[in-house]
Amino acid sequence: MVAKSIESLVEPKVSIPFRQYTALLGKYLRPQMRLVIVVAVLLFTNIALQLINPQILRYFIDEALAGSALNRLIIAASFFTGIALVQQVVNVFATYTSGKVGWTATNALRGDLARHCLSLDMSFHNEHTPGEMIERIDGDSNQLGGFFSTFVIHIVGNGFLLVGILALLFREDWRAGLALTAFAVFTLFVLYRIKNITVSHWKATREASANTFGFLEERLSGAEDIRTSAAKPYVMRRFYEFMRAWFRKEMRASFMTSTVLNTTWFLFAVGNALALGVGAYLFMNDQITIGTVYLIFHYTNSLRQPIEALTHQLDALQKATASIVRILELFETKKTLEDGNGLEFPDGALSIEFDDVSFAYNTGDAVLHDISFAVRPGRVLGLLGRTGSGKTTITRLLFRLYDPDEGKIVLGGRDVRDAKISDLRDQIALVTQDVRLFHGTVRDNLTFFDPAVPDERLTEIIRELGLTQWFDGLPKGLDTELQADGGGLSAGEAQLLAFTRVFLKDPRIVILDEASSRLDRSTEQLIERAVDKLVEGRTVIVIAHHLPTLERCDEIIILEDGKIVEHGDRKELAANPKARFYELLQTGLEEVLA
Amino acid sequence: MKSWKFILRIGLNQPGLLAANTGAVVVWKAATLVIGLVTRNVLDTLSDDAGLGLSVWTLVALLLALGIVEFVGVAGEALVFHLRKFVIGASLRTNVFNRGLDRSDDQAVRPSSGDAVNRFRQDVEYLTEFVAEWPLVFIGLAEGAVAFVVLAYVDALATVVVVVPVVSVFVVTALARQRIERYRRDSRESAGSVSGLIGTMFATVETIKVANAEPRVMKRFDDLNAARAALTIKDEVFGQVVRSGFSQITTVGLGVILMIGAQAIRSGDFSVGDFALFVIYLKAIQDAVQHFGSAFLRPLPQVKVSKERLEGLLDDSSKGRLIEPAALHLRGDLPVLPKTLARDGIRLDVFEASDLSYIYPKSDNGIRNINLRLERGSFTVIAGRVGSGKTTLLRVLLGLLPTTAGVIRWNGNVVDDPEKKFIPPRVAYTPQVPRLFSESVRDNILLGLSETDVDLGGAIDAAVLERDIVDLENGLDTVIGPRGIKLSGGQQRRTVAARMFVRDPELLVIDDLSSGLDVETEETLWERLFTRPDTVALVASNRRSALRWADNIIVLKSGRVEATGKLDDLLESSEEMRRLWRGEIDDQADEMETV
Repeated sequence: MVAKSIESLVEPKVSIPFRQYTALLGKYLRPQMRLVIVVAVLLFTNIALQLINPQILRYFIDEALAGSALNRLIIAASFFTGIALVQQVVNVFATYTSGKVGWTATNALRGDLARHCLSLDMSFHNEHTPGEMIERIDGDSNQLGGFFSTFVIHIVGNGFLLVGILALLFREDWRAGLALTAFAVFTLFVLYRIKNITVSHWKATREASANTFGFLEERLSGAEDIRTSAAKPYVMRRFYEFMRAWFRKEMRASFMTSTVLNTTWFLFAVGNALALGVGAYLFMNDQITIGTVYLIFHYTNSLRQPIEALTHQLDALQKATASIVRILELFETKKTLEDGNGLEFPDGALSIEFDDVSFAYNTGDAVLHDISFAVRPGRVLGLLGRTGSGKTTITRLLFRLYDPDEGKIVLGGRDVRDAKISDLRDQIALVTQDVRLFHGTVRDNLTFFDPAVPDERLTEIIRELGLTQWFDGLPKGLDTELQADGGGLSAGEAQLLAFTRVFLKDPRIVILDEASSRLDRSTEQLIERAVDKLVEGRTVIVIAHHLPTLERCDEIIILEDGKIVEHGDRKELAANPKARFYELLQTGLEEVLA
Repeated sequence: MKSWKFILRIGLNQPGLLAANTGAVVVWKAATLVIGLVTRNVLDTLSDDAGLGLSVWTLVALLLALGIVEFVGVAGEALVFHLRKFVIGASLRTNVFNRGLDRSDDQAVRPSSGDAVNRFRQDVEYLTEFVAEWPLVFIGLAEGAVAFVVLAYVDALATVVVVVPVVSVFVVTALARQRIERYRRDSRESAGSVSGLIGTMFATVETIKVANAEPRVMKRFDDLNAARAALTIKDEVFGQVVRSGFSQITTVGLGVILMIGAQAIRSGDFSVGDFALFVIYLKAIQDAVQHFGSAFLRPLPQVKVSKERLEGLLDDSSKGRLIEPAALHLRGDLPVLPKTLARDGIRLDVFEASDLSYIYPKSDNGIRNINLRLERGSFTVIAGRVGSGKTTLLRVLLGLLPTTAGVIRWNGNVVDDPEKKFIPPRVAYTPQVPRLFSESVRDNILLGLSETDVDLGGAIDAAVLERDIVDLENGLDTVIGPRGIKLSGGQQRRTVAARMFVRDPELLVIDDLSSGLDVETEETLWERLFTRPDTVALVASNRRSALRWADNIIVLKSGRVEATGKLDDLLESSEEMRRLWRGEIDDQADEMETV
């Protein structure tokens, strides 16, 4: 239909490395090779039947006008009808099979994309909103899906149909054949010329829409804050800005593509007149029969479908190409963090060592300067410093969420870069002040969707932590649905849930990052009791503000502006009047500067 | 509202565009019909059948001219169609977003933000495509009807014979509607789950990496994706088959004409031109019927589903507002923001709550019979252990949760709609969970306020944020990453606090701001808060420095007021206060309750 093919563009820009393009398609179609062959067979049968029938029709017309026996006519008509029926059936099967192939391929692609993106570095994730990721992973692969499933039938099938029709026209009369081939070639050439202009426009349109959806997702998540800040007019205005940008891009893209389409239509009008004109000329010169005039007319009319379908699908190909480019871009983005060769960490608690580590996030000033310290296995280290002094960064580096710009980090005598990242992260557990929950059940949130963890283990831990009361209050126990970002749980409860997650692991190192800060004192004590258990036989780094927590520490490091300004045994520092730690304790405040 | 009404209202919202679109289609389709008649004449003239009497070449020229007219119709249609489609989609999205932001019902029923985005994208797209296709669908049907009549005039029997298969395919499709609807609904739902998981995965990516949970999460993704694959294939492919599997059923009909009309063709009662006319007009009828099926009938069940999915993003009271024509501001000036918030008559002298209660649905938890009184210039702290109801109380006071009993009074006047009244400049709020957007720090704080008309520096000061700003590479212009990742937790909270302070409210409500702050910073914060002369401050916290600065403390336990008074008095008189102050664990007898 015209309305849909307004978005038609012509063939894709050749500057997309054709090889990459086919490599991507091939990868996802290869597993379904058998079905693909079935599709091919059905397709060609379909085409053959479509080409044969008009011949029968021509025969019929000529015989009828020549006054042949009724019998013969009826037999011819029956053949015609029969073939038409069979062709329908073949078409149905071809459509079904190619659809199946296409959508199966799309789903595989979506899974691979998600897996790949999840594995990328934090530096990537800091730059992209979740809404944007949805649009890229889901939106782009959907675009391809609709395309995959119809590409074969429409482009390949119609391509061959087109060639077949022109060949048969030539067979009739070389002049008719020539005229109409010229027409077809010219039409395709015109479309081909204009083909590429629009790829970048559609890509830009998709980007504009992705940005808009990223914006929407963020603001909807923060709807309450917008309300309590009376910021709605501002947010709506930003929304209008995004829509406006999208509008401009989309109108430009569709205007350009509609030019292509309109040209096609005009050419067809010419083509029809041409066909009749040529037919009339040849007939009036007694070169061909009236049946053949009709045949030429019929075949010309039949040209319309493949040419239209080619343009329409080339348009879809164009949009799909834009998506493919974006998908390839994503696949090209590699993580900079390389897995090490893999090594075994020694048993028991691990020592931690930072050697001259300096680090800055992507764009900023250095957050850590020449950090060097060592912690023996099983010791508890307290990290203190103003917010923003680099404490959290140190923990992120331990997990290898980022690599230091300079220096190295050594656990249990092994450079963390030599280990496999997943092995490394299994060794360390982290409890943060900012507990991220998902939209899922309590069980999902505890086990990260792992079905292998038995419920008994979960309830056992919940019991050990003294959370039975809370747990019994949940409407559906482990199956209770939680909303993302803490809906359904208070901050204190979320923290307790985070601790439950940690106890499911068996880490060698534990990091408590301001874990106790949001809790009520009494709950905090509950946790501390459990932490005592957790800390046994493990090395611990604590970032906290409370004296009781600090009393658990064997050593203290004080950070300021990314540098270590003090490091020593806690008891010694607490007794030394010249130590900063001593000063902090002496300011008379119960909670310590952390 | 019924789906058909819904669709009708949306489609009529832009009458000018609709008229233009319709007009173009009429020109186009009319030209097509006339072309059919002229073609017939050419062939009949050639075979010496009674033609129009015009020469063949005149007729061919006429064909060409009509082709151009047809082209004009097509071109016009294409331009207007796309414009109209975008506008319809933009209106829907604007309405959903606008009303979605106002949503104030129960959190638990809301879809995840990933699912919401999916609905914004896909469901709006479905509805838009559907509505935008109307002119083509209905004028197409009219074209088909005219063609039918003309053909019947030429040969009634043949017309019936050939139209029957077309109509029966159509009927079969219509009968399959229910199944189509079911497939579509299942497919969309599973698509929403996958999107939702993608959104979740990337919102919590750091947690997932740290927990080494990528393989587990991907396994769940694979399961959801596989389920989706199966359902999508059923949905899409079934639809494809129905849509294009019978695209050439008319050929069968033509064959039947040939069979039963062989005699008439032999004798010349039915000419070659007539046959050509049948071929052309049948194509038009079939296209019209098929288009009606594919662009109207088949997507119709989806309309209901998509409509409901969009409505699922709104409160019940707002659902009807989806169909309103929305101001889109696609051209011209953007709406002007109010420079400042109107401050007339907002002065707060006394803020009271009497007998305030709210119990969470299907549970025993909540707050009961809360009485409080806040006077101008006072600093009140609400203390209590985890689950005692501090956050619930604040949220009820702000109208973020409803009340099951009790009243709230502002200067003695009962307030029924706190969610509308208790917003800036009267009341401003810092929630427990800081929510920042991917914008500059400045914009995150101002959120639309004009910088010259407010005291931004003062707000930053009050939030003890000044040093942090200095440390940022671009200061206030630093853009914060998705969900404010680049700031530390404490900085995020204080930025949100600055957002509250810059609105200079009469009543400040703070839910536990100081967690994650070092003591020095915290002390400065409360001190600065306390010394704001006229502001009423209500803070939920158990922190000692807050308790020390407070004029009045309200101790909550199990959702009720356990004690109120000044710190020293409470430490003497209330065991609960002492416990909070000391932070002791209760023994087994005293259970911990939940919010």
